[in-house]
Amino acid sequence: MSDKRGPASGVRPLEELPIVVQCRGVKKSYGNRVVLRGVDLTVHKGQTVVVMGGSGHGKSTLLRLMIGAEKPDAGSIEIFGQDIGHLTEEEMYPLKKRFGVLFQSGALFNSMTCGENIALPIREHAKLDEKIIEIIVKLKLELVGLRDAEQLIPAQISGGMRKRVGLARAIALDPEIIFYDEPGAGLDPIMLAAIDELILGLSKKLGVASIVVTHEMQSAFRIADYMVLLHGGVIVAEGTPDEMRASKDPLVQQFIQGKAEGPVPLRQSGKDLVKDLLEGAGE
Amino acid sequence: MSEALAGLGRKGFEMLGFFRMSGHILAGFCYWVLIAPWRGFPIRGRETLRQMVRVGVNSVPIVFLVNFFVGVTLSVTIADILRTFGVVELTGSAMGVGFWRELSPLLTGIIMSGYVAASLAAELGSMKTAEEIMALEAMALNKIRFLVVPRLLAVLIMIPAATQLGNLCGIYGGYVVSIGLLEISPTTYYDKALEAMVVKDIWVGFLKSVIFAFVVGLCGCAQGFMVHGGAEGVGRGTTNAVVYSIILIIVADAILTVLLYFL
Repeated sequence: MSDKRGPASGVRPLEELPIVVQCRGVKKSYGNRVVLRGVDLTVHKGQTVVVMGGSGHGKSTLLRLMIGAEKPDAGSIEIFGQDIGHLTEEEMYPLKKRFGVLFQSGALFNSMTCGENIALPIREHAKLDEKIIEIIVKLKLELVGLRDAEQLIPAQISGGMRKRVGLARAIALDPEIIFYDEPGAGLDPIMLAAIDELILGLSKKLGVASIVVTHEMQSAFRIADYMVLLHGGVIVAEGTPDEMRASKDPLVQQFIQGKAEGPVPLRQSGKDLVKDLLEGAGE
Repeated sequence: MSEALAGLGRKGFEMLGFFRMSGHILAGFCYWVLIAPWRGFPIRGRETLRQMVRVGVNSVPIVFLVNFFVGVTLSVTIADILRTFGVVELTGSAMGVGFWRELSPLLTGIIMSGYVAASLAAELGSMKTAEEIMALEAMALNKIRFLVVPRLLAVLIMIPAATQLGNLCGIYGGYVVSIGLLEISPTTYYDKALEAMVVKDIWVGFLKSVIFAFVVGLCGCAQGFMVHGGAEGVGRGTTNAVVYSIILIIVADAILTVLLYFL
């Protein structure tokens, strides 16, 4: 994957920065349903890669494979140069401590307060004094604008707030890579812009690599250094935001302009409607 | 016919999956309880205490009630038979041995299947559908250490404890009827109960309660982890946890009773 716009534009070309995530020919099926048919993706330190694609085209599956929640059927996924397909759960732990994940729903633990949710990974992995943990928790909550929610339990706050607390938890250990599963879903436009700023800030100031799975085109163009379009289990288009905007590919244009009509059919049925209805009536 | 066979096959696979998951959980539990604490991964004591309150304290009233009333019913039924032989005072003996060795472990195990296995499966299943378990693992935190160990430990401590209370309640249920209706003196009832019991009755009852606790805890946790497919999946997992737990308790009870008879 070539790159035109590095994370620290004009400072160092991307090729010189270390590769943090590398997928090669990743395939995954569930029973007879093939979800990924060979995906190649490279992410460098400090780069923000946005993975776009319609529902059911393998975005979330790719994310689950990259965080080690599932194993690929074929191909390899390297995180910090280590092929995670061959690692056991315990061998994955040192790697997992170096990345954070923001899940679609926030995935906060309902039995703990928001503050305890953020403190959990810090308490378990960094042997720090409780007072220091408390300060870190407050700082992380401040970053997502929710310092007042520290003592609240997840059930007491809105979905968007849960997601922001989830983000605070994902960055609790100052990870080097952050995976975002639909960070914009359920957020109002102002909060979405704030989250985008945060993603950009983490990437530019701290050199955090971000892999963002999203449908929000406005947000995607705001944060992306590089974009890939996943369709039918393969990457059908990729490039910088400018290249994607200028792309002549009707599929890319349909996707980024959000058109109902185009190469991607709205209806996902192989059968002719009239034939289907008549067959049903004949039975 | 072929559909019935397919259904049977699916059920078989599901059961196989359940036993594999239970084995995996049990092996993980043994590691995190027996080995890991020596390697700097302590057991989460506060969470275990919280789960003990949830499992034990809250279910005590039901255990009391059921054992007491079964004690009442059983003593009247037994007394009726014993009276024909003129030995109605032996009611106390039957109640002592019967409850300590068999009834209290079994009744408490079945109550806990409905109370604890169901609640464990529902809780862990909901956590799974809400991606909480995936989040836990993504944070390099082991789900067995964080979720199973406190819950299974709590179950292993509280179910045998509740069983002992159940013994007393059952025997007390028989006592109330015996002195009130059967005209057996209180001292005769207790003397006969104690006289008939041997040490083996106590440890057999205790052993059963520990094994039933494992069954309840493993069924709840395994079915919870196996949940897939949203709210309906959680419902299915919860039902399965109760059904598997009750069946396995009854089967285990039969096997244990036969085996221990020869010891």
